[in-house]
Amino acid sequence: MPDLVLRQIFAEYDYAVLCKMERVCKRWMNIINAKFRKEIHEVSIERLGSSFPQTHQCIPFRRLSISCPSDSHDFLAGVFRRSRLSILKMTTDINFLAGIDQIYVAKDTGRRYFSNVEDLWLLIIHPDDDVTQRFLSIEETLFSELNQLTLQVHVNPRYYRNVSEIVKSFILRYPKSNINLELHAEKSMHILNQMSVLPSLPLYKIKLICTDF
Amino acid sequence: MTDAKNERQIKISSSDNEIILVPRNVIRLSTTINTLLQDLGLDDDEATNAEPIPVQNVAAPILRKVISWCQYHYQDPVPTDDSDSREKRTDDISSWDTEFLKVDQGTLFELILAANYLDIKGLLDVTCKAVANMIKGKSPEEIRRTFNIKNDFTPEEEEQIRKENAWCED
Repeated sequence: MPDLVLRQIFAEYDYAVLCKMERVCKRWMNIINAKFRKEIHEVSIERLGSSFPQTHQCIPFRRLSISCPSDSHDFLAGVFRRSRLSILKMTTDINFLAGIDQIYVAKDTGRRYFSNVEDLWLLIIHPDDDVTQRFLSIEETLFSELNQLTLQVHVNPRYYRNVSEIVKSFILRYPKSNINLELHAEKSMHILNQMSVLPSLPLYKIKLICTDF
Repeated sequence: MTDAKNERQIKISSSDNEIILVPRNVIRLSTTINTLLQDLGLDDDEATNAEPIPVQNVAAPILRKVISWCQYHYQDPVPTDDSDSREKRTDDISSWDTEFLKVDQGTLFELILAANYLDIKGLLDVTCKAVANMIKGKSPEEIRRTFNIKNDFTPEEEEQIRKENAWCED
């Protein structure tokens, strides 16, 4: 079958079926992965509340949305094998980035994981001491140069300090990026407390969401 | 609406040297032949008795089947090109086409190659859909057998991919 015909056949399938097809042979894998490189420039990773990996590809937006349990290392290794260097935009949470070394990624040591990501939306929900330490120890290996950075913090009195450390690491690492900060909390007091321990921020935009006044 | 029977007939010869007559308006669906006729100036009235057009990659039985598809579809409205935003559906094959595509796998593959060579978009679309439907539920091993493809991954590579793709191969 000519490549053109295979590409037309593959155009009929969604992400999951194509992932199954890429195991047929190297030629099929190359055609399918070239298609993904063209079609997927954004990955959104959600790891809360799903019991098995699921994918949804939105071709007009060049976006792949995935949701999976937090221990789906093999599944994520596959997603990154296919798309790691073509992702320009990423949405994920701090716990995922902190545990990135558990995912098999074929990259040279010294190379960044997501060297082409320019735009990161990061959820900071439960940054306990372990997650924070692990994140700080690997954060320099993650991205090359971020232009847009949105930190969405779900404020929790237990993690004021850790949030502050994480935010500081981003400011120092990517001084040129536009930083958007979103603080979500029930009580305004928590937001104020969190802000009082944050380092001085060159913020582009700040959004405070408080559900109880 | 013009009747295909009264149209000018074009002679085409198959790879096994059979000469087949086909109305000009019907074979228009083949971009390859249509362009050829236009570029060579064979659409002029005086060129009616030209030499047959050789279609070297397609044998007569398949060519006849391709022409019968064109005969049914040549008056279809031209589809708008919105393939980017089109929803993925593999179940929208018309009932006439479904009957038409009730052929063995070898014939189906030859139809695809002929549609590709003759550049008949509608036929290529529908035959690709049929193959897509046919192999959608098959395992990688079954697909290799169907297409006669050699597995060229090393055992280590295959094991790694198999692990990564376990989620979509239940």
